[in-house]
Amino acid sequence: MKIDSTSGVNRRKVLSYLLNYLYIAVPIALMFIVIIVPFFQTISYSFTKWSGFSTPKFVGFKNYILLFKRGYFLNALSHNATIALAAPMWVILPLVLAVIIFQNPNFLLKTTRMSMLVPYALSMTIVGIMFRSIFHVTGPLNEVLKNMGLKFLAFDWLGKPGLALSLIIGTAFWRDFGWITVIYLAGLSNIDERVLDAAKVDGANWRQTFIHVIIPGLNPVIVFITALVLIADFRLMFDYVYIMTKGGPGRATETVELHLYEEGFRFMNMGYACTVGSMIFLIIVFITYFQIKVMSKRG
Amino acid sequence: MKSSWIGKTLISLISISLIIICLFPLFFAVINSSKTEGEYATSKFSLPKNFILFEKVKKIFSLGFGNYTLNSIVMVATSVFICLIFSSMAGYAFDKLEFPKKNLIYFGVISMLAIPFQAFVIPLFVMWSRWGLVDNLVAVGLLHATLEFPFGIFLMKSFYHNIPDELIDSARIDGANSFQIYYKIMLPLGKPALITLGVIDFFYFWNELFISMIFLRSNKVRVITPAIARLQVASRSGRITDWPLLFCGILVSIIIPLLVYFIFQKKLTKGITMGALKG
Repeated sequence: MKIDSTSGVNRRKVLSYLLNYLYIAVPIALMFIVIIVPFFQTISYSFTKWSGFSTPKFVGFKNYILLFKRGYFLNALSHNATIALAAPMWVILPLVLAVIIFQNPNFLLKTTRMSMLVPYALSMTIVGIMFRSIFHVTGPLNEVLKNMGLKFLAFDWLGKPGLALSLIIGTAFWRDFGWITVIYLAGLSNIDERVLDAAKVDGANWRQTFIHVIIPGLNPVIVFITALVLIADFRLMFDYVYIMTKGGPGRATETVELHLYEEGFRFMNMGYACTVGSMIFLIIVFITYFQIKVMSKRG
Repeated sequence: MKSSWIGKTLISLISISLIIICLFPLFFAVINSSKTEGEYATSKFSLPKNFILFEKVKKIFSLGFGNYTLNSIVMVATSVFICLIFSSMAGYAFDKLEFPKKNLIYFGVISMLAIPFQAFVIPLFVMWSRWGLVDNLVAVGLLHATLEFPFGIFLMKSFYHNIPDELIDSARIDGANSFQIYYKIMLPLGKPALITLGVIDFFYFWNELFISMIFLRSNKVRVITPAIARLQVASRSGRITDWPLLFCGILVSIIIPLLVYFIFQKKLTKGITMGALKG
């Protein structure tokens, strides 16, 4: 850009700046109203007792103390943590699958790829219902087990506190693994074939090829999926839990977002629910900070 | 390994089991949707004896599912349209136009992705009901679109980044103003990214449960995903769950998504991967 000395040109520049702001004005204004303002309200309401429509009453840190004292929040948070611990499964298993499919193309490739995207077209609500029917006491799983003479295994799968959360995680994985594999497949076909051929000519075995050629070539994809899965933990698990167990049995599968929903929209403890929301925000900031730190360390 | 007979069989087996794993639950829902409760209880893996799907579908529609589908279409169309228009405008401005504090504002937009929905939903709901916007399909469509702006703007900006600046400069020399450049060059050139974003958003908005459930409460404006969820909650309180009816509801509710899926299948694959490869 040249520096203009005449004021007429300058004025035109200022005018064009103002006009350029118009392109972003609507989305910025909407995001301000829908996200920013309520976000700061959440923080301030988190210090009040409030039913949503009454006048909020300032109670200081009482909600925060209650949050840790009652134990429900920490219990729910531990379930989110369990889900987060399963995240590597989302990243690694589809990667392995994609590499196997990519290196051994067969006549079923197209059909496989198409089938693997079908779960993505189904909502999490529908997937949740379908799997609840499968795991139900009178469901197909138990029918098969009974017919195989394994009657002692035919119980209410989602009613077992120790098992329900794992089954929910498995259900979520069923919906996701296909499209993640498809992403990896696309990433693999983006790797320069000459590099793969060169590795072969140089006598690299499959393990060396995997570690030294495929993983670095897929690095941006892997980072993307990791970020996506960690965000999904808090954003998307609500649907499965709400549909499949509603947090039960007892509170064995309650996650923080279900806890917030129940407190805020069922018991109308909106002040307390805002406290939960603020805590979720703090946790996400914490996670994001560490993610960025780890990534920048790796370069 | 490629030429060996065992390897080939193994790979085929893996492919076949993948196909079965991915399609079985849907297949199961399909074959059981046309059974009576009694038939479902005794035989789950056989084909239905008497074909009563039509009656079941009629029952589903009598529960309002036709209306719910229309509501979903209105809401999703609103949000996809708003999201595409403003994301492409803002993406164009952030990549090709100049204005003070551009990068700072863009950073602000992107960092909104880090604010989880739970951290602002409650005051937002109270605000929405104070303004009388709860139970308003268009308003909730606007809400959905707004929550997708950070992703949409990011996607459009990174797509426009690959369009050479020279093209815009030459149009400017020819006397086009910035809006003409947007309307006549950037919008048509951005078509692949717009279709991609549109398809991703379609599935996201259509399948979303939390917001749609909270902000659309009355029966008149209920959309399809919360309706299915409600159907299962209602059936849960009874001692016997009418699973076939639920399956039938599932079938009715996935007709449109499956249609969109088959029409845009290639775009969808490309779209999902574009986000990943650019990221």
